[in-house]
Amino acid sequence: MINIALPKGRLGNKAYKLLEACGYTISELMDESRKLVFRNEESGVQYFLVKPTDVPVYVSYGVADLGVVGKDVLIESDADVYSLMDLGIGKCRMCVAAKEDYVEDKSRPIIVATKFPNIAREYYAKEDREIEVIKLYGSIELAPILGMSDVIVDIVETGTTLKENHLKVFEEIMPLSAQLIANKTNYKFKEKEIREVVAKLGEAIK
Amino acid sequence: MLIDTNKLQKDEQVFLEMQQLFQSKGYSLYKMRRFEEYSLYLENKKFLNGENVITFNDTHGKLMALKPDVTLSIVKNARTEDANQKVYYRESVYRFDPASSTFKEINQLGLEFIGAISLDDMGTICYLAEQALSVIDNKFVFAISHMGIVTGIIEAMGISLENRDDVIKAIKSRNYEQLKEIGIKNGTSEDVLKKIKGIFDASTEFKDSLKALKEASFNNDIKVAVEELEKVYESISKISKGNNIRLDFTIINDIAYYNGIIFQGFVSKLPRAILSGGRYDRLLEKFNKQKGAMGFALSLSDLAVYNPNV
Repeated sequence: MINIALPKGRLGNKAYKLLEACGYTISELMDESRKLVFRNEESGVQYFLVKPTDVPVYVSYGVADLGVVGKDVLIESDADVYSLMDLGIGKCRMCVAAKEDYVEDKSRPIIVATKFPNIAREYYAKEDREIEVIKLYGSIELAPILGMSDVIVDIVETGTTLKENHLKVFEEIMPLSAQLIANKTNYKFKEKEIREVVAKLGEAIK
Repeated sequence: MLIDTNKLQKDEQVFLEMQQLFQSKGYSLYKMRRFEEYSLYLENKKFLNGENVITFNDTHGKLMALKPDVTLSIVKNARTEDANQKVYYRESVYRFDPASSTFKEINQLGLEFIGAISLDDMGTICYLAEQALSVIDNKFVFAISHMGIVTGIIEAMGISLENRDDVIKAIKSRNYEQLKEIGIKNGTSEDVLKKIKGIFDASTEFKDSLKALKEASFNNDIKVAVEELEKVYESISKISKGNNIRLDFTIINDIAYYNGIIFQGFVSKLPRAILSGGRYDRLLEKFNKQKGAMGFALSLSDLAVYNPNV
């Protein structure tokens, strides 16, 4: 039995579609149920639906052998897991954005509002720039509008939200997409099954 | 009265059974002080993965630490004029646990060999580590690798010092796509990347993985790694069945301290490696001691999940 942690929501649904195409099906419709665990003895798979940021946790602790997680969440979590493949879904970018007329004041640290403090710190450390981080959990765009921060470090998909709020992208930090991750210990005990999942997914996303 | 070791707590059982085995292979018990001078850890911070240390002032005002590691103390006290030093220990170390944001006391069982280490000695150390795992759980994996694989890959890819950590990260997370991206940025040849992909594509079955490494032998580091791994595997196979041995190149220890064979041990009920070790001659060099060194440590504190129901 392979245990897979999927993120609740759009990315999880897309990932399930890929896995379904590989034969790892379940009979119930996931998005219409309130259940959190779905199991199919025949296809030898069990899915857990969890909060996206919790996927690396379930995988690190080994209750899930595999997990599907955005690269943003994975890097931010710094989880010690295998990152076996890029699933090519949920593509977007991690960017630095600010008000359209923003000009950096180099005489003081930049105030950065973000859901991803680790990614922000690492990026600015490489730029040799001192920052102050304000950790937020949502509506990050509000911070520079209200003058709480100079910039934001956040995920940008289409850029519509930024545009509507008179913000724009100043730097792209990295491209993002969904990753298939694995627990390092479970990989050793279930290597054959996990390699089979990886091979089938590889075919499915070709 | 004879003690039925199966009824003991797992950490006690493992200690008693391994103690007997260690002694039969010529290792003797090493007992140490609970405290060390803090400077020892400050000077070797990287060996401890930047670990936080609990410090205090002793009665003379000297800054002391509750030891976060045993190997450093054994190496520091090893006398170069002595013949081979073969010791085992059971000691508590104090480390910061990021998951709970607190310090944790970890009881460790470990073994160190300092001196002229032969291939057979390396085989015996691996065998002892493998046996310790089998005492914990018959479902275990002893995963072995060699530092020459990672240094060989770095050299063949033409990676500069500043990008080295990114390469190590990509290998540790078995992420070929990431590694390839770094390679392309650094002008790594297609042929080298293709050979590295072969290493990633192979399973961790010892023979399968060794074959991929042989095919990729693009430089001396990898060649030496393949040769040593093959000989050590032969040497372990002479004394053990070797059914649970895997060759896993994603196991990497710190390049500044480790060289040669490295390994980790996994048991079915724990999500992380329970045992880790390897050859660390470079640590001795830092203490100006020209000797070989190899050892491993196993966390007895993690074994509670195996305790028999009382």
